[in-house]
Amino acid sequence: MIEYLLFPGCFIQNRIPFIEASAKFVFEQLGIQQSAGKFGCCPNPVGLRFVDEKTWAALGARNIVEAEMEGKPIMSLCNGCYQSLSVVDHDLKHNSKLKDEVNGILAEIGKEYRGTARIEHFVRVLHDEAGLELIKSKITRPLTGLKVALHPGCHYARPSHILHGEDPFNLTYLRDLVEATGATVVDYPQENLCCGNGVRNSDPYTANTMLKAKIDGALSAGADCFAVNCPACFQQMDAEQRNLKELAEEGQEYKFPTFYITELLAMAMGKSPKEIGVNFHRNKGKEALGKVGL
Amino acid sequence: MVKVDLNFKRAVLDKLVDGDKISYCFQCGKCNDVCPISARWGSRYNPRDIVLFSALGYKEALVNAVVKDPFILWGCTTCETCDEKCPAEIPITDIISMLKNLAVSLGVTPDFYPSSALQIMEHGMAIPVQAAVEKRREKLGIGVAPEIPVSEVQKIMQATGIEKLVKKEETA
Repeated sequence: MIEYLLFPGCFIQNRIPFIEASAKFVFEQLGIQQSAGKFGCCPNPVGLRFVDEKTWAALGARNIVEAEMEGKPIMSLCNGCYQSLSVVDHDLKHNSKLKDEVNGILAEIGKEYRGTARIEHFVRVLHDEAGLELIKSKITRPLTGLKVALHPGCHYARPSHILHGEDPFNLTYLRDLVEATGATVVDYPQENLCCGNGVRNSDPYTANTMLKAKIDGALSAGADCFAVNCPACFQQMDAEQRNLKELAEEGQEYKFPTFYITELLAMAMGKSPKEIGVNFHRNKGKEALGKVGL
Repeated sequence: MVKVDLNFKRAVLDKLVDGDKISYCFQCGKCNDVCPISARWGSRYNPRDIVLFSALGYKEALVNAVVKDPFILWGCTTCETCDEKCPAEIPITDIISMLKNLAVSLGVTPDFYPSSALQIMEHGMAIPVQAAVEKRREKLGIGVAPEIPVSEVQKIMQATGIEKLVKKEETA
């Protein structure tokens, strides 16, 4: 198998590294080779892009050039980084004026974008390159009985004409990976609803109403937890629940756990929650994990 | 009298003729129907109007409206549902992103966006390394974070002129 340059993204790398730990364990189990790259900010598709698109494209291109120079594809652990790098790559390939401008900027640091690097999301690498059969063969402690509501997140598959692969409103890869752990996926009407993270920095109230709708939907469907594949969604869905107090019905307390898909896989492959740092979650999901003897 | 800004109109039309296909809006309102923000706020957040005003070159009217209520633009959560469901395949979120760039240049922005740009300029990443997290990384067995190429990021940000833009914001 080829070696990837791992792009954890600033949030996983510098705030919630336990997700990187679970991912690296899973990659090791599956023989997915990866190493670190000399990456800067992706940059944030719901941050710097809104300040100045040209700077966003130039910094994104700088990261892609690192992969071109190493001759290795990028594997992102984050929807946002994956979307930024993929969209910048697409724009540069389809807009020669922008490409010339960006290369003029990159010349200042002696670099040039050529457009030869491949950019992947780790979910696709797990699903299509490692494969479900191999993953299932590594499961030693199936999460049988755990009911999981999916949240693949907006920037995993949209815009769908650029982010290759799945039907953006009928996503199956995350579902397949959760089922490979032995857990049961439960459907809920808000599966494709945005977590609200993208509007949090402009209007936290609106972000909270979106999170509440998702959790209420998952609870009504009988789910024990969420499974996610994006750190921004993870942060919104785990940590920001503390802000739902004012929106809660009387007697309702929001403590719904969220797991990264790599955490579910790592636990099903034998790791204890503590070993991969699940104790660093704000909602540690003791009840949910207790159901499967963890 | 509504003022038409032809340069602005041309910039928007460039987005619509985006290399893959020519897109044009026929005001069907699907974007509003599928939008989770419109579902919560009704006409206060209205992507159909944003597309119409942009395509017509009504820059001044748009800017005035955003100054009055920044939410009409910054309320977008960037879920890109509208783009996917639009029958004319209008890149609505791209237009909104372009308008946000315009709003930032006029100082009509939530504080987060310029301050996040300054973080990237200082640390090379939107979320910088923290000593406590570095310790946690070591305990988790994944070692310290790889070195961030801060000086290259800074040089790029100086070359694009964003430094001037966000520093102006900061002192304003």
